[in-house]
Amino acid sequence: MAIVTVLFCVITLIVTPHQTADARMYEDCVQQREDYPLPPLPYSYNSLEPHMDATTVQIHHLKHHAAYTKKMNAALKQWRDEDPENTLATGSIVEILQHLYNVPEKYRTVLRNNGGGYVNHAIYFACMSSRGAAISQDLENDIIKDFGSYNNFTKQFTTKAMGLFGSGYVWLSRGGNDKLVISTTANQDSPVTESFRPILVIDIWEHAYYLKYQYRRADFVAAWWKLVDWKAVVDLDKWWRVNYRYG
Amino acid sequence: MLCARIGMLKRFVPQQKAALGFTASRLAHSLPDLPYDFNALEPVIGAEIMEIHYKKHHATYVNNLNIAEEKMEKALAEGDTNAAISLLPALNFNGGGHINHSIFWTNLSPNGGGEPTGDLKESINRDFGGFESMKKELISKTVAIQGSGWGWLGYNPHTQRLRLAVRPNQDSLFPTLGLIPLLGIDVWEHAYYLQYKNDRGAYVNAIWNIINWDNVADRYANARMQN
Repeated sequence: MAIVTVLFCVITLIVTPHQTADARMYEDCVQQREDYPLPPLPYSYNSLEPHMDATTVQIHHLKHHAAYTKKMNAALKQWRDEDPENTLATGSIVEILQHLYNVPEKYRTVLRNNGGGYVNHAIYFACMSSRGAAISQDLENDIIKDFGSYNNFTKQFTTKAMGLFGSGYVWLSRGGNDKLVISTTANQDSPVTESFRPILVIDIWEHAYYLKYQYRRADFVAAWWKLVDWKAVVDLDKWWRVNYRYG
Repeated sequence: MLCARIGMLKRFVPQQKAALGFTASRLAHSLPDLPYDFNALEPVIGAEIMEIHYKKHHATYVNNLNIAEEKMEKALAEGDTNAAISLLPALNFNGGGHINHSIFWTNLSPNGGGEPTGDLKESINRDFGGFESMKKELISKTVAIQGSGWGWLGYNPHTQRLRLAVRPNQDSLFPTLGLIPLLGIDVWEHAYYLQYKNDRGAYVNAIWNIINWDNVADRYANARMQN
């Protein structure tokens, strides 16, 4: 009996990793985790060439995204150790970002910056690939409904990306009544805090493009559009419908 | 050479704007001369960074500041308050950017490094308990800035004390915190990324080897004369 139990435990440990090869980078965000692992990229570091250079992708993931993940985990641990009964503390990082203003002041800034950084980068990397998948009819219809035309949408998004000052992101998200909205956030702020469900994002922090593009942000934004994986965006849109808890 | 504002050279803008019914009596901002060659601050800050930082980033702040000021003049002349208000962010970004970078270039020198002497040294001892203590705190605060911004050693003319502060983005120190800027450390990623990548700490530690303490001391002397 003991051997069967041990075997069962060993098999369970082997077959339930945090991330399977097919799990998308953002899926852990809505899970309660004691320690969030840095999600692996769904592609190799050089696969976004020539639009995005391998060195940038690697440093962006292994240094920047990893640092946010580590600091978020440390803050979560500290908060949870201090207040083990706190239900928000034991929630997922998305829940915590949704209810950021209920996080005790002591942990709010560190979780805003590092929890935000963890989630924001997961979505950023997940929505890009070298395959340039075409947009689905449903999503394109919604874009036409909310922006007039696909070109209007890309033009507005690009204008926001060019006009953003300092560090931050430009987002396409679902808002109230599932309306598609373009918004910006500063630093590592998340649209989840404003109850948006983000489905596409461009990282405008200089570290996202400086090694290859330097001050030429316009060239970076143009290159990024070529990397947008609309299939991934549609997947994320559908995923929120299942995984987003209102209120 | 320091004047009450900062070393901004101004050119007179020709009066071709008369078509709009007002005279362009405002002087345009321009890039101050860099006191050294692009490669002078090697190995602390490489030539490639210096050239792009000065010729592209600082130059863009100058150009966009001029554009924003022209638009502001027009809005004010036409009594369009909403237009004037909507120009404030651009004035803030680009005006702050121009001011901050103009100070920054003078704060650095290929012959820099070491420690301050004289009055500045004594005031640092008084207000921070010593140079190392001030350095440690300024490094710590500056590295910790979220996103883009600047770390500052400044002077409070009302309390007559030196203070450390950080500012986000290009927010200008004096109008926002009432401190006269003496020494600034730019931690926008464009200031260090090509060389240091994500290692902001290495850059902020290394920059102390090129601080022009004579310039900081001059600024301090000037600051104390103002009130």
